[in-house]
Amino acid sequence: MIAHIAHADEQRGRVVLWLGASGEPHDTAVDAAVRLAQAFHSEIDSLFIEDGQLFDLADLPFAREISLSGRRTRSFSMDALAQDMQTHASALQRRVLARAHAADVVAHARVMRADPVGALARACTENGPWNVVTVGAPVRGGDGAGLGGPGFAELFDAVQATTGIVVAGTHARRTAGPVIAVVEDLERLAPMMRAAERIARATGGDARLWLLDQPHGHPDWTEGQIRLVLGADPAVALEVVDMTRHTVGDVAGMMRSQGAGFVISRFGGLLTPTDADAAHFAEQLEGPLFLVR
Amino acid sequence: MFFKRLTKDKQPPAPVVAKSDEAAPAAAPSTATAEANAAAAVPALLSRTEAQSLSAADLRKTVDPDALGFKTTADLEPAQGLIGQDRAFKAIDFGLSMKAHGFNIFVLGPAASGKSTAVRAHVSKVAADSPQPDDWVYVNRFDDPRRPRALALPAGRARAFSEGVNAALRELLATLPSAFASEDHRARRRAIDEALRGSQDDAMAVIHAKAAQQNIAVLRTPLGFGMAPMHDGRVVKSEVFNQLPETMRRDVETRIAALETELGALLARGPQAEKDHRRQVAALNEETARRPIEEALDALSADFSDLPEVAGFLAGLEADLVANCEQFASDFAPSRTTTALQKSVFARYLVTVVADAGADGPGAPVCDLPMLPTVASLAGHFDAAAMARHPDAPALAIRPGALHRANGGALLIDARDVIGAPDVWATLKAAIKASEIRLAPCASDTAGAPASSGLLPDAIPLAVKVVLFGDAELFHQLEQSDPDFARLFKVQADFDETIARSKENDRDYARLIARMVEMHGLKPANAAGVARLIEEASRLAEHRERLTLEVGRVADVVQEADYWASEAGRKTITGDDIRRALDQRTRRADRVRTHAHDAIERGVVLVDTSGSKTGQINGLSLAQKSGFSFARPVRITARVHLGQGRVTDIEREATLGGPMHSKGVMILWGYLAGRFAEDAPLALAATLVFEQSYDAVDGDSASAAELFALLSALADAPLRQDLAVTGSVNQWGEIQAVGGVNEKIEGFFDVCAARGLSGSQGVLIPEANRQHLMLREDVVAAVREGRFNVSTIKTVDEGIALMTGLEAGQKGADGFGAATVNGRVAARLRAFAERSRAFAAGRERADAAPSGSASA
Repeated sequence: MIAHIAHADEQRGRVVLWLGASGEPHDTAVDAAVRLAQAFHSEIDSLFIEDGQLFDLADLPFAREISLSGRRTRSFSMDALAQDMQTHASALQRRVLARAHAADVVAHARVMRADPVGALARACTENGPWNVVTVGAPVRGGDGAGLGGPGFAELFDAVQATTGIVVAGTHARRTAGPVIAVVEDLERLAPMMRAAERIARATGGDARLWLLDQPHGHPDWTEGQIRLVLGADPAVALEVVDMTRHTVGDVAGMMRSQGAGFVISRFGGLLTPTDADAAHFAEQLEGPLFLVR
Repeated sequence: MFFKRLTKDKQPPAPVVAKSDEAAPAAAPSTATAEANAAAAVPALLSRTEAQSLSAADLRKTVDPDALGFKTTADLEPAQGLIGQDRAFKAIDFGLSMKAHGFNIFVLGPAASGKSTAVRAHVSKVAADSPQPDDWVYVNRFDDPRRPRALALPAGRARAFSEGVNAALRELLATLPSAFASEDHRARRRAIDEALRGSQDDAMAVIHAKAAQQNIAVLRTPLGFGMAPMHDGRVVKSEVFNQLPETMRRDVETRIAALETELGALLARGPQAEKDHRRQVAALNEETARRPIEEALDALSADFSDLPEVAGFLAGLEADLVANCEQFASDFAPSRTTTALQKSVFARYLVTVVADAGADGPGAPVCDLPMLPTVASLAGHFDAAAMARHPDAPALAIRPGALHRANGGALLIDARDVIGAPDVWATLKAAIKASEIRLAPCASDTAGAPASSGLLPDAIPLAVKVVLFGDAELFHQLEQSDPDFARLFKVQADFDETIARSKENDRDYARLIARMVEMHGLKPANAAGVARLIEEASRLAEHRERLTLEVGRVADVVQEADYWASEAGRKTITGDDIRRALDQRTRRADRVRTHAHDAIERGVVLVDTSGSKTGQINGLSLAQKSGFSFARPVRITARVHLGQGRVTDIEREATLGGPMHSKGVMILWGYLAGRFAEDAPLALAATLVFEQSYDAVDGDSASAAELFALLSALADAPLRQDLAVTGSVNQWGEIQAVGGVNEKIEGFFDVCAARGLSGSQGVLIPEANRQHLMLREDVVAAVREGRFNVSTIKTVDEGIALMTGLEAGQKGADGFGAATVNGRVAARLRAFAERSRAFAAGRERADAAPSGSASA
């Protein structure tokens, strides 16, 4: 987990902000990267990835580009693409750096031309083991992970030097508000709770634990164990969600009604078992979704 | 500042003049005419040939406390308002009842007369029985914010209307965000958003699927989309593609072109879809907002449905709220305070009440223009700070002025306040002329242009009766300097300064004193105290048969007497308390008088009060300081010698004499010429001096004394120094009334008393001033005891006879008579004329005979 605090001589990892997956970055995603960096006293590695396949496309003899309005088509060359990429990258990086500077967060900007998954894996490896990848593009359900390419599973699999992936759905509009860590087992309780507390301190909200009462689980025992961990005067509120009576959509609705900011959830768990589920869940939230292993 | 005057400003009462004066020509009459006129005047003038010594009863008209018919003022019904001002109040009633344009009222009268209080009370009483005027409010025009709209409401409903709008908006502050935050609204909004994106995503998904089926990748570029053949999920590189067979490459290109066309068409539909989306969102917002807005405004609309203008505004407000509902859905917190409303996006819907007549009770309003008025305080204005806060809601920045508050009633204004502020006066006139109130712009901002420039608020119809308070001088000044004044202030309410003394008026005056006692919470005054106050009122009126209506001055005395009564442990104000109050007032103010009299006593200022001297006489000069008047004797001397016929007024030559004084001196010459120069020119030169006088001198009240000094010098007849003289003289030798006669007599009395009263000392005053005598009680006592005298004279002859002890001399066939004063004057003048003739003819140089002396 990113909640690990690196020693002075240890590579502590960064928040790797992935730009370039679509036209415009999502403001809430950029803000989420800044808040995470604040929460974990980290730096931002703003990585604009030029997808190599686009250059393959541009190298084709008939390559054309259809404008976003659909009303204009133009011939597409590698030089033109490179020029567009450079302009686009500069504009995005400038925005990110300004936002980070305003929040007193150190940010580094760089451009890589490669396959996105490979570029992210390489960047995270360079930074050390404790990275968080923040997807700069808005995530939407319906087309797999909505990343315009790789899915979350592929990312988790390929980018080993990351502890989590942060995505923002198209409706996400705030990072402030309660930070809700969704726990399903005791194993991840402590790191998820610490992460929630640290993020809450950075965003000005309060940390909450939501225990999902699973079918065929031992909810009473788990709840009791969690309450033992929290102590008599818990700083973190605990709520139990009966998943036998609620759908994932209901849970997202409850989070919205509580004005949730960050939501921390285990990828592969009840709420986000697959790429498509995670993308769909993220899209229903009004804050960023922090998927952890 | 201390300054010396010989008469007061006020015009003395018209002297008793024979009617033949009216027939006398204004220009110098011919000898025959002058003789005829003199002959006609003679019976009147000569009907009495001696000065009249006055008795103590003539010097002060006292009030018998027992005759007043009450013990203390507690027994009396206090007077309501002023007394003896029926004419003025009838004029005010006339002005208030006249509906025609320009019948505003100018109330003129002396200061401290209580007229403002009385008129305010009177106007308020009339207003209380008058119908209440409409209330007025300003609201914003939603289609044109630069033109705030004025709405009239029946009296008493403006406040309810304003509060109703406030309440509705406060309710919306809470209900609108709730409505927009409701799950229903959000779900529907999400559905609309989803429909838009879904349709786009679905279409894109179809294209993606189609492309995938044909092994074609759809890739996002920085500025759009591109398509390329795909193999094993990756774009085919160009070197691979180029090695494909021609037919296959063309086939790929054809399929890509078709997909591009399809994608282009899909993307082109985006703007229209978004437009539809916005329309749907707007419709949803309206639907969400309409219900809470209608619920908030329904009751208010029903309450004011009888007022079409107001109902129209509410309908517009509702429509504007609905049209702009989305901006009210967020970014503000529910609040219950008007201040919070003003800070919210609802500010432009708030109502500004500018006229709320019902707030001050029934009837029409009566308002005072505040002191130090400005155009803004008169006509209302746009508040600059509020304009900065709400540039789109100028109605909220409107601040009413006095005209708004008084509209439909009366506005009371101290004329000096508006005359001293020309822009205020101009604004007032413009409002009266146009019968409407137009707001003043707000102060200039830093750039120099008024923040309210360009605003065109509705004017409000004005129906107000303006009552200006001033004095006669101000009235005449306005009348002469401002041509609009007479057209706009057609009614004069002229308050008398005095009322006649009578038993009835004495009693009314006692009720007026009872009113003062009641108003100031003082001890009741007993009959003796009231009697003493009435006598003082008569003295203040400078007339034994009249009472002053400057009640403020009397009220001051009563209040001070109340203090002294308390000091003495009395429960009522007595005559002694009044006397003590008057003495103390005099003592507080008479530092200058004391110094002046001390200077005489110590011989620094030379004034004789015994013996006789030629060409020297005691005049009496009056001085005022901070409202305190006193007089002191002043030595006037005259010297004569051969000359060209000129009286030199030393005061004038030294630029110490005012025009009135110079006129008096010139009249002397007319008298001398008319009486003694029938047969020969006046070969005379004379000088007249106010000895040891270093202040400005004005007025003609010393002209009689100057003439006596001149006659004494000519006749070489010593004048009594135990007498002092005051009075003016005309060309016919008649002695005319002057002002300040009481103070003048008292001034000479004090000097004589300090040296010891001889019994022969006294003052000569014009007979016409007898009616003004209200002397101090110690002076009256001295006269009663034969230690001092006051005499009246009607003519110069009466005066000179008393002053010289010689017969004045009436002109007969043989002249005046050698032993008379006038005969000796005529002889001296003849001698001057002969010497002058001889000198002119060069026969011989005139003997260096002495020309007369003014000093011993």
